[in-house]
Amino acid sequence: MTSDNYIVGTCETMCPVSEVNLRKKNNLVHYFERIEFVKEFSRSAADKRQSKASDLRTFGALKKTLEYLFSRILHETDKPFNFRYDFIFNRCRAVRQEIVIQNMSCEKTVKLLEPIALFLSFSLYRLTGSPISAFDSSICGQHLKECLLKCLTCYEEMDEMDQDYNQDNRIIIEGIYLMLNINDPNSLHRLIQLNSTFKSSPIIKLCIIIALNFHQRNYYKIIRDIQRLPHIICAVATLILPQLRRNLLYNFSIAYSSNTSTVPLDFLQRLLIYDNTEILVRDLIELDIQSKAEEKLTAVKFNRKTFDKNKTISHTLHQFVEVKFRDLNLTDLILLK
Amino acid sequence: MNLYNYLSTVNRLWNNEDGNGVSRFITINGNHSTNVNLHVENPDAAVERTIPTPLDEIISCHIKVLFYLHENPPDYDEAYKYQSACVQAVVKMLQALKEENWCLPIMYVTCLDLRLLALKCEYIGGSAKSGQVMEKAAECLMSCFRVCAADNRTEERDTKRLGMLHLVNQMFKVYFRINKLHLCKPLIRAVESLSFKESFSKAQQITYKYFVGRKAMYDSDYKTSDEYLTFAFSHCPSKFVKNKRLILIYLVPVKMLLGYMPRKETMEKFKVPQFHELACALKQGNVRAFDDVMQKYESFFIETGIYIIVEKLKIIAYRNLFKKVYLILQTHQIDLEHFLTALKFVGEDDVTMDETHCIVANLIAEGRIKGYISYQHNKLVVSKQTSPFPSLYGTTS
Repeated sequence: MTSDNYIVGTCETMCPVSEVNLRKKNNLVHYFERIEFVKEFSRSAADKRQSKASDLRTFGALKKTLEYLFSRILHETDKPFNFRYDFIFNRCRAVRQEIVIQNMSCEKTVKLLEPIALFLSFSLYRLTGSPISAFDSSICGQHLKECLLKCLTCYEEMDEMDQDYNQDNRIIIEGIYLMLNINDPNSLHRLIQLNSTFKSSPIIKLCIIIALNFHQRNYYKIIRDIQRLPHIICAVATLILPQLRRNLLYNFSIAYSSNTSTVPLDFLQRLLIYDNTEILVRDLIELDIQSKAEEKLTAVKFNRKTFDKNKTISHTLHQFVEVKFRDLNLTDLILLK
Repeated sequence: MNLYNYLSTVNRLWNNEDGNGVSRFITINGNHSTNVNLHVENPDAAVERTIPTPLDEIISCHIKVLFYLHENPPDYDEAYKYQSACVQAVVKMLQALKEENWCLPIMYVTCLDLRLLALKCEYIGGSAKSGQVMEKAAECLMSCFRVCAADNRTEERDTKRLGMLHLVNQMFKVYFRINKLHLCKPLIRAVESLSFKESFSKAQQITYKYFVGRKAMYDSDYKTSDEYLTFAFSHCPSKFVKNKRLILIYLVPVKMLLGYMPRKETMEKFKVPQFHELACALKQGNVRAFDDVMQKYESFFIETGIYIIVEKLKIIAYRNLFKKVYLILQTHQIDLEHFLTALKFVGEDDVTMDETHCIVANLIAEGRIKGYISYQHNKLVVSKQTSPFPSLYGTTS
């Protein structure tokens, strides 16, 4: 099929007039749309007529929409982050749908998808661990994966056609993809097959080393190295931290298993980079290593028999990640400015 | 030979139920393929006059494939299109010829050609359609496979199920190429459940075991992988040096993970010195040398798809290094400082005491060291009775 068979959008605003009128009439105005409307996501159904060109936005309008979402709505701090996330997630989904309907070029596709992928990555870090009523991490993760995969195929296609694009953005996207799929050897295999100039980027090099250490089960090195990753890649990488901590604690519960000798908490806190001993002790209890929180607890006894292999520990925010975001402008970061 | 001769020859072989005979005349690499008399754009009328259904459609398609292949320049996309139609016609033929299987060679050649043409199309088309044509081809092969697999009422001698392994091997080749290994699983299950799976030809069995062995390797099921690849390697005749080498490239890392180090002579004979150097580093417990060998042969390991598997061997280097420390000190309480010194000695400059603890703990958890760590005394305490470093065989988790 050639590109002529696809409709090209003509709408220059963030929301087509027809939808604005319809939603005003039916009282479907979102809290964030008191001033400006943004096109809502709706499933394409069999009985729905094919979209009209006037209902689809131009590339410029789509870009403007994302800029609006990430500069204005993201900072509407009178509402909690998960509330803002829900709105932005939905509006981004509509943008992604239009990319597909209009069959946009790789160049335009990545320019729109990269910010969306970064937003979803950041949200996944920030909101994972929230109650399911507030945030569904598996849906967020699934959409993120789709965005990333689409970007990766676009990069490959542009490489094939010798087209120019922003390599620095690709490095971030590739890094996020690898950290998110660190369990899957294929994602690492894919990356090491890429050309050597790309692989020589320090960030990619570091990501590859982290993934290799994961397959070699050298959890110590992974924990050490993920702290050196830049902002969003680092944030995504910490999603595997609970798994790494659990695995190391499992190893310890065998290696330090003893009725008499103990292991100091500050050693564990340092190794497993816990922000404070409270969270560490909470996790130790969760894994049945420690029976209950005691005052002035300074050391813990490991016993290979008590460790419950089926239990997991949950995701938390980390100081070393928060510090990276502190002096950065999130809008600029997401919009890759 | 003109078109009429060709058609009547095919017709005669068909009537004699000579599947192999017919197959020689419908392959794109046959003696007849380059014959310009057969490069006809619209052979339908001539074919219909001479050839009975269901063979007519197969032959028509085949002649069109030859036509497009011998255009200047060759039109591979059109050729592929007709080869695909040809295989679909083969499916109809398989369905029409109930309770007989002499026609299987016809299916073999058309399916093989389909895969080869798909490969060619992708090569010419670049990565723009990477995997797409191959995937379509696999679907086509699948429709043949379904007919064969469903033929379970016919006697063993005449069943089309005897054609399954050939198709499975073709599909393996596609799936490995397009990196969709998860699609192999149902195929493996189908073959493993056949009561007569030993009666397939040696060549087919070797190919099958080679791919299943590789798949098991990626699934970290090293015992199965070892079993299948060993079968493939030992049954592959010595004259196929290239194939034997290919099998060995996957067999050796699996064996090493299971604790068997390769012999230098064998590695040299099959021109895979990479593994010998790797084994030397492992035996010495030289963690740093291991990394150096990995770097030196990086492209070899990446191209063959074993890079990550081979990297997993590193833990054996740690184990061997610590075993050496134990043997030198001859004590059952080893200060972890000694391990740290050993790591620094082989060139791991950035290693810390914390990491040393983690590495030793990992080796203990994996059952590679029998003992425990006393944090207070910073010592590894190992058993006096049994060997604290059990033999590598069987300890791989």
